[in-house]
Amino acid sequence: MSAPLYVHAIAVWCPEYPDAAALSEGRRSASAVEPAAELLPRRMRGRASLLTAMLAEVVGRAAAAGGADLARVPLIVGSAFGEMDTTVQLLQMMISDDGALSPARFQASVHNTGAGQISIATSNTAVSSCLAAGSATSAAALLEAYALLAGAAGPCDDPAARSGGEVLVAVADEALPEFFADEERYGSLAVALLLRSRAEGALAALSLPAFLPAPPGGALHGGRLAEFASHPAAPLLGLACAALERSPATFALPMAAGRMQVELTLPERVARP
Amino acid sequence: MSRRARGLPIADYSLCCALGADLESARKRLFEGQSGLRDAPFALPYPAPCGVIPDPLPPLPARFADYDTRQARLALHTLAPLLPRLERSVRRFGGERVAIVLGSSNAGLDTTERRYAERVRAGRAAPPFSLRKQHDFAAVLSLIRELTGAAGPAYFVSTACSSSGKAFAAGGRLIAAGIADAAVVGGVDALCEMTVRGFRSLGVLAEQACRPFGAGRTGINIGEGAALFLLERDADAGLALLGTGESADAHHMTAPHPEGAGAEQAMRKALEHAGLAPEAIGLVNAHGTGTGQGDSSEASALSRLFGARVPVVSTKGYTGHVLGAAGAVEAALCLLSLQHGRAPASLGADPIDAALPIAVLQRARSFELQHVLSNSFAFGGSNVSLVFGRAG
Repeated sequence: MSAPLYVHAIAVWCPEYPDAAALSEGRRSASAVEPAAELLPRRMRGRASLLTAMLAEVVGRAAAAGGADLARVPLIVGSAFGEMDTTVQLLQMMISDDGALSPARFQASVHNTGAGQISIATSNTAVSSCLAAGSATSAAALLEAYALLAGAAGPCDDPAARSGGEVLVAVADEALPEFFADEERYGSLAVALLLRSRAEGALAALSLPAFLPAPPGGALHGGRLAEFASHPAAPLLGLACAALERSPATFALPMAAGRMQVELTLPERVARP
Repeated sequence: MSRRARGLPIADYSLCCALGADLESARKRLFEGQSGLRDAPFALPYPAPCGVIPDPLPPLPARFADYDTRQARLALHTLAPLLPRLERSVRRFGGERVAIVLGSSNAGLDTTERRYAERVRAGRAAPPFSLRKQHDFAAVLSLIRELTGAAGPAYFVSTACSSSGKAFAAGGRLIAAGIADAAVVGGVDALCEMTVRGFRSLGVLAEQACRPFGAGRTGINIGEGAALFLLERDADAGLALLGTGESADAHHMTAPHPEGAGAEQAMRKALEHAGLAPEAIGLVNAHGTGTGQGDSSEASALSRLFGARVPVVSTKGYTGHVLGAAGAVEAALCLLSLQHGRAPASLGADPIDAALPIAVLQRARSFELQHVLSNSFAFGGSNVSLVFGRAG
């Protein structure tokens, strides 16, 4: 049996729910809120896209809740589509006037903008990565975290990450701009999990991965709230809510042609390998 | 004395870039010192040499027509030579044990930027466009899976210019962790007008052929390309990925750490994982984009590790800067050097910037090469360094 990952903290942000507990219980805010994103310096925060601000918000909260050192913890960011709002601004600039682009917007359009700004704000020089895999983005981010912590010594090992025994996983996507919204509509959502190799103090244990063929039909994952059902972070949201509620469950996350099965259990119930 | 590490075997690889639409064409032009830069294929109000693939890319199979983008055509064209060896891998291990981890900056943006302009002009009368099948990174993954049966974990790393270098590290970790027995790794980035205009807006786009490490260098040229590699546990292969190292500068979104601290950290980690001392490296493929600050920062880090002993080459004068696919395209060029015992000249370097304390190779050289180190450094301060060598 592979060694499990332990969930030590979670954080969720979307405009309608101030925190994970509110979302889990369905307590909607009277009005939409902005992410505070306090780990970014004020000037950086003022210029940040919603995606970058959401990521900073959940990364900051999860690290604080779990006692992780933001200057040292590896960060894995998943986003299916990245800085889409900024991309549309640039597309519009290209067909306007002389087609010149804003340098500030261009440098903030790369997929790893959020991760880069977080690393600058926290002086974190550890390994980090940004992934994209469509509906499999949540599963990909979890796998990357698992491989980083579990990897045996070899050409691709990162001993500092492995010995540190913790990694922050955050998956976020903005609501799609109108040009892209024909096929997909969902609200903005960001979810972060602080994962560690040790059980002590954990909310839940995750056993992964087992890859299975796609089921014949129906929902593939235990996603919470219908409005986020197609959101790339929905699988991670389901895990986060179950960890918060201390509610064991089996999740089937979209991955490749099938699904990746993840068992969430309470840490004291994890069988020793 | 350095020990020679076994590393992760590279069972096969393929390449498509401005040097040539296939590995052999690229090899020939590389070692003949021919640049692949040419005029940008779109209207711009300034000169902008670009690394454009010299031959038309074949269309997608008819059943994939909805997925048509230059990015997808580039990916499948580059995949084609790997198919026989990849199919053996799928038969040996089972499809679910063969992963796909690629790097890209742009995904399907080459088509998105055209469709956006058409939609603004013509509204709903514009040609159809699909977010999932054309813009999405994942579109190419599903095509590769459909063609090859590689049904293991599949995702893109997108960290700007370090993307495909990091894809090597990620794919290797999946194998080491027992999640996969083989992985298709590499990178794909088709040329997009947005990136050319974007680098122009930052003041780092050269109006002539780029001159990495050259005196009076003025900036980068953008290129396109793809390179794919099959990493396979226990394969009998002559080449191997010996080490990877990743780090972050935590300094600035576009400017590198002035002393190259993050770059040095990535290179030291890669050497450590390869079990090699710096003296064991016979050739460095630099990130070397041709910007004043970037080249100086990298040279500073290189000199601390290698002094002026190890020849340093930037190949961006041949291919342009292929952004997310740069790590992969340049890895393929490194493997060509290892296989043929020949290092290309660092095109555009002459006259060299005398302030840089490194040994930039100004003439192609034939010599026995055992280990090559390759760098890719990116926006957001993302750094990756790879060490390749002969296996066994």
